[in-house]
Amino acid sequence: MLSVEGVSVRFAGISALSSVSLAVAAGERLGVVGPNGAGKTTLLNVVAGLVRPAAGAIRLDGRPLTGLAPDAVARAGVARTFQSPRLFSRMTVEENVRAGRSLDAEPWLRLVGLLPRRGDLAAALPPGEARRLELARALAGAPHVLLLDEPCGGLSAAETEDIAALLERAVTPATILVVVEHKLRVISRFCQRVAVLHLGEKIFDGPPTALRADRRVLDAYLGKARAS
Amino acid sequence: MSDYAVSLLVRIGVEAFVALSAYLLLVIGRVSFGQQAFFVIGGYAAGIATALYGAPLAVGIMVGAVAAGVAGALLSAVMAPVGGIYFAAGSLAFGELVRVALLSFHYQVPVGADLTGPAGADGFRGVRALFTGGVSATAFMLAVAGLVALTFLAIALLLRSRWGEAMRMVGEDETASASLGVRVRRVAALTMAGAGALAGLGGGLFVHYVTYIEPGHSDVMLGVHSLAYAFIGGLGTPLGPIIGVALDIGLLESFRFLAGYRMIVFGGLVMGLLVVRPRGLLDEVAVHRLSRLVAWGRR
Repeated sequence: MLSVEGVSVRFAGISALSSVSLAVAAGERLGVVGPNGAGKTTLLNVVAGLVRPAAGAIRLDGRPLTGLAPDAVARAGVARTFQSPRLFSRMTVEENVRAGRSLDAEPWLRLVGLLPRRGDLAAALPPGEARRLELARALAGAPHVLLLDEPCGGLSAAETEDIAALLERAVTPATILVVVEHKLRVISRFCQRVAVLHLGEKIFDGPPTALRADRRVLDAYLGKARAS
Repeated sequence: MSDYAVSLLVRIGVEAFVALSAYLLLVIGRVSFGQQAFFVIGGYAAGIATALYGAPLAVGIMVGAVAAGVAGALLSAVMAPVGGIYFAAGSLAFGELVRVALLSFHYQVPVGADLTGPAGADGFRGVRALFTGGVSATAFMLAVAGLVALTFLAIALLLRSRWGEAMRMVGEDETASASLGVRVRRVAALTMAGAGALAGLGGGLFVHYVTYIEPGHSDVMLGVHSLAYAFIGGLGTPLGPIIGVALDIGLLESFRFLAGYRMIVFGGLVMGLLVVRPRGLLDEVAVHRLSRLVAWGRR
């Protein structure tokens, strides 16, 4: 169980997250959506240890993650991808998946269809393949928690479909998955639950089917006048 | 081989260690203007071990490397978390700190009829273990060349290992590295210690070849050159900095008609290369292509 309990984050006096609480059980897939600036990436960063919360706590199976350095959070079983893929461009595709860990990169490269490119430098990959490589790198450590920051961002419809199909194949039933994504179709496809953030606050937490009927969500996305 | 050629090759070898030291730090994304400090720390420590305490030459040189490695480890306690321009400025300050400290470092003991040891601004003279041990200059040059070759092989193997992967990851993106479980500070600290030891090894070899060392050898220009060697030769392989040293000292200095113009040519070469090949002649892309070509040729 991943628990985010009353987490607040402030940047130079601006509130990025205000007392956000979430609990995601083992095997559960949570989508996080919200307009730009809602605090979605900050939420992932705070779980991954890249940002320290001003208040609140984060626990994984009861173990506190709050205040741990990002490498310690990673070793606790939390893997992530970034909004823009952060590959090691001067290293090969295979080295990117291995990433200094004692693991066999081959099955993961095969899974994401990059085995033929294992010896290429990561800098040579087009955006779609770069996304798949970053996903393979995150999956390769067999994480307990997988945080995906817009895995389909900037991709074409066909590439989005590829990534969505890949996620369905690759994510094990026990993995806690948290996906930040603007494409609601992707969220609806494999998340049982969706949380909506707006201006750093959680304004909705429920099944994707209930999302479009929620007044606060409509107000956040469309504005009060248009929503009514 | 002429004395001049031997002396030139020893100098290339000695500076190759400082260049490889700067290169190791560049691999983890740190630009150091202070590797000359470890060079003189190694030189002084090695000289003290052999000239003052009668240690054998090889032991003295190892003492120099260890002392500089320890200095690197101590500095890393402060500087390991620091990157970018702050690391560059901090390393420059450390280099100057060591140079100024050596100006007032006096530690002389009677050896035979003379007082020997560091004497402040007058430096440290009379480090004669190489010559009293009966080692010829040519044999020493061959030993230095052998050590450079061994160091090159060791670094090349290191960079292909899991630890080396972690070092290269840290050099590209510390945030992504940490998010994959890499202990960035530990990687930076151990690399700083190793880089210090390498420069110190060069210092130990140097002091025994020229028989003296002085605070002026910690001048920032040695640090600047070490960086430039790596940037000329290329950051894609530890062969790069060695090529950089050979190009500068071997080629430019050995052409007498360049006397007086060497630094202009060298500076121009660095500037030109930074524009057209920012990561040097043998950058990662060039090395990758070459290794593929070799693999294809073997098939």
